[in-house]
Amino acid sequence: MKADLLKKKVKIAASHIGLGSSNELIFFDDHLTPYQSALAYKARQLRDRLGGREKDVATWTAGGKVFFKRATDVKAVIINSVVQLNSLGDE
Amino acid sequence: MSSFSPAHPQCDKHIYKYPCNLFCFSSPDECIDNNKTSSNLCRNMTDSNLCRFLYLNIRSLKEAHKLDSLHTLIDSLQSVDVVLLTETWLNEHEEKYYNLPGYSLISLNRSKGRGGGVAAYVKNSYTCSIVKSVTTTTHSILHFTVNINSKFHILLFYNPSLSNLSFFLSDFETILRELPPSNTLVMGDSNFN
Repeated sequence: MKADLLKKKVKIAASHIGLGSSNELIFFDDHLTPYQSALAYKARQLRDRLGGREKDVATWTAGGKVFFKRATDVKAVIINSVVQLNSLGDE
Repeated sequence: MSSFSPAHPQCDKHIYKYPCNLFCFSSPDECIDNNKTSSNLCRNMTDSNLCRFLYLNIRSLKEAHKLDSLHTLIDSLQSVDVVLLTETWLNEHEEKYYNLPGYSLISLNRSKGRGGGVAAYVKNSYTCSIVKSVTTTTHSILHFTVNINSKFHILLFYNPSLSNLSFFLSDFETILRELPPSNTLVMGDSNFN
């Protein structure tokens, strides 16, 4: 659902789904497994430790997977273990 | 460097289900072979003079928490010198994201396509070098040496089922012939049955 909406670049406001006449936008969060959500949390901690947005470090989730990208990475890395996050932080 | 808390508490249960082999060598002629599930291994073989090899058909290191589970397993077994893995499913550009602390990674991936592949984690304190490697779109054969007390020759291979067996066997035979007669460990998944 989230991916479909992102592809179509549709924005949904509260009024679209019958929640009054508010134009407040509605956002979707991925539903993650407990393990993936713990990973996402640790990835966000690492992002902040590495300098966050100012240093072009980003992390996000899509399709139930956790992604991580530093300014020096050509492509985002799919994070699938804590060990990987630790080694990204060591570099 | 500040480190994160230890691996996920749930993750070690997962990999304990896998049958794995822990081999210990004390001298070239003596080999203790334990073919048990990994949960039974932890209590055995605490002699510090032995060299410890762990073999595991990991069936994708890329799957969520596999690397964490492996890390936990190695921690619980204490001082495993060499970890041998088959079916790593890695690609060349992904290798750098699969380091285990304290170990260096030797990885041999399929030349094309996903799946397959073999890898070895060798403790940083030992020098290792690749002697020969053969990799195709199906099988992978890796011959490398590790210096632990003495020099070990290790042959690690993976051949998928439903593949052309004679193709694999000819490569395998060529490398087998080059192996020295002692201090040699041949491990892998041949899917011969």
